[in-house]
Amino acid sequence: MITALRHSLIRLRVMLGKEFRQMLRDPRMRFFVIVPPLVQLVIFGYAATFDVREAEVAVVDDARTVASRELIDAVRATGYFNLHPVADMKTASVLIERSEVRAIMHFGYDYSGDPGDSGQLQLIADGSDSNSAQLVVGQLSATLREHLLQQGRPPLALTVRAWFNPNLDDRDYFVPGIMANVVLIATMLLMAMTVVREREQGTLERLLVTPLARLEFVVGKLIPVALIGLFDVLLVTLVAVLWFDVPFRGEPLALLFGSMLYLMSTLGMGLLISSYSSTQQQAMLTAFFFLMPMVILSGFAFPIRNMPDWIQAVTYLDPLRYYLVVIRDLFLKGGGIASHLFEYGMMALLGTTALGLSMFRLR
Amino acid sequence: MKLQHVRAVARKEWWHLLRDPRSLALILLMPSMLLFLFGYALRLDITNLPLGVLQESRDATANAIVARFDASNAFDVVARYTDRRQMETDLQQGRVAAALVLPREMTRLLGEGRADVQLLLDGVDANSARLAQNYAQAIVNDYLQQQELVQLPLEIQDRTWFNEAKESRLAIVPGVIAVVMAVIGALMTSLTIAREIEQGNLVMLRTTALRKGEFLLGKMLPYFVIGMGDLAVAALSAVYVFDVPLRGSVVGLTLVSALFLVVVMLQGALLSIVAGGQMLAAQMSLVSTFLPAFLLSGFVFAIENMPQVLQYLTLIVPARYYVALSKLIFLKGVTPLLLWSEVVALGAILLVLLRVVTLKARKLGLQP
Repeated sequence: MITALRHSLIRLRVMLGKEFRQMLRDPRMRFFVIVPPLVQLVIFGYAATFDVREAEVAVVDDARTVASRELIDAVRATGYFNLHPVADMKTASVLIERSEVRAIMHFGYDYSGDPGDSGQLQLIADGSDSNSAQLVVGQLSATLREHLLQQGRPPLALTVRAWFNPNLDDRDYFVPGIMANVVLIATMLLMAMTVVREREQGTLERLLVTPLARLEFVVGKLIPVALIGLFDVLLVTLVAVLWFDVPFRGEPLALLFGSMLYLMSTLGMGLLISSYSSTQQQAMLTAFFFLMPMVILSGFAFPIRNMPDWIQAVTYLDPLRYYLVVIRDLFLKGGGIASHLFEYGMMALLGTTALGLSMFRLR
Repeated sequence: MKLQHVRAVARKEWWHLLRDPRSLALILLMPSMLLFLFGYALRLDITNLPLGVLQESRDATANAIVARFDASNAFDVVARYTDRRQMETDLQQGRVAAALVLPREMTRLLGEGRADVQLLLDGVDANSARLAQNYAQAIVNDYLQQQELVQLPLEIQDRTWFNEAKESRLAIVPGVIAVVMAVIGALMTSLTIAREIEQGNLVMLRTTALRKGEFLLGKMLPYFVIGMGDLAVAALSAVYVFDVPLRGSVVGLTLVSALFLVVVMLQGALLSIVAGGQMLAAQMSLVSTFLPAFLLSGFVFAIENMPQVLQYLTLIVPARYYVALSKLIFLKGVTPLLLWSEVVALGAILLVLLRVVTLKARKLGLQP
């Protein structure tokens, strides 16, 4: 029994040595497991924001009264908008068509500013980016109202407080998400290509005639990629905390454990794809076919809550969905393993199922 | 360059494709399937955000406010609390995404002009929180206006052009097409060329009269045809399934799409020549197309919101121009001529890529 185990470990060590050498032999490959995740995190960490700052707004002032000018100045004074006065609506609509401005502020002829009078102001937003449109119009009308209510405050005031992220900083939300994506892309493809490459190049048959057992083969394939993945997690976490100042409020051990389960499930899926493919092209295309929905349906940018029920049901099969919940909470809310038992459990379940199926397939 | 040679390579590639039904099916079906999935799934608008209400005493005004929140599309009152601690726990654990705190004796406070309503939001998802804040403010404003509690000397109307209902779907579907095509185009080309290199078929081709230009063109031609087919299916489903209006010209959209497809295919060709093997080529084309096309193209995150340095960086992302062009052609009905700068930029990227690919293709060792 003990000798069998020792022999098994020796075989595993040989297999691991081969895998590591094969993967890291090519300097470009070495480059590719380290540099792109970091560069991507930095670039996308800055890119991923819905927040609208200094929106370009065209102003058409048909009223030309003291009151309208005062309002325009009040909007300008907030510093949130870059105002471009234009002569008429025709000019303004060309600007909005060409996406040079995001909104138009149009004062009607009848705005006098007298309390009894009721003039008109149109706020027109560019709906081809509906999210920014809503934010710009919301912010513009809030500013205008605040200025128009001269008595200071309305009889009913709404105060808004955001928990966990008081400044509503998008970066704190997206950086952990990008981290998960970057690690996923860096590792899942590697995994999907491994077995099929052995098959395509004919080396799988050579491995089959050796005493290497199936489990040793799978573990030998899995561990190197998983270690690369964990290494990437460590690197990008450091960048997230040190560079982007994203707070890390949870337990580091929970992150390690969660990342291991996450890698187990994504790599298990990669291995499964690999075991069902006969060429690398097939494996790639299949991996990509799963990868893209995994990323987009994970709740990374588009809230799962907004999806139709049948798609919400599909997202339960997406390990990224669980990992995102875990790391976002670990970064922003704190807590440890105990607060996300369901997520950990689902990742473990998905991982063991995928690995089990691919073991079965590799018989 | 002999047409005959190009045709021979293209025919060989067709056979490869036909012999591998799964790859063919994936290439043909993936774009429309992904479009379907994403077209239905992706919404940024908030609807039925789970809202908890903390109301410590019964009060007519408070009830009226709560009823307005519940009646709106944005919020859905899922929990009522009389105890602040329970509400805070639920917000912490994500059972409600927002909580409305109403004061005691609200009617009296409102009469005195100093009623205060608090909205607590789970700020982790900052964008949803910002949108929720906007909706909540609008509900309160409407209430004040209708009860004639405030009088503004100005009536503010807000309108959204090109997308009256402010549906994020309309803005997202044209973007999804761009992302899917960017990746598929680059991936298909890079894999097929890298395979020839990896399997050593290129060595055999070196002994023939085949020129490198003929080889590359022949390799890319079948995928170009498939890619254009994919685009047609995607555009048709955008219009007929997702009701995205196609306000601009079909010819303009076709020409712009063809230009974009050639650019991403050249990108794939370049990566495969540089990489030499399928694994690295795949990794490189995914890294250089998927996330950039997803995050840097203006598809999800508006480019104007990014820091200046990044805005410059997006200039080399081909998907950026295509997302802008397809949104404009679909939603705004602008002719591509008005957007000549985007078209010129894509053309410039095309020329640069063509030059670099020709230079790098020397490595293939085929006839010049």
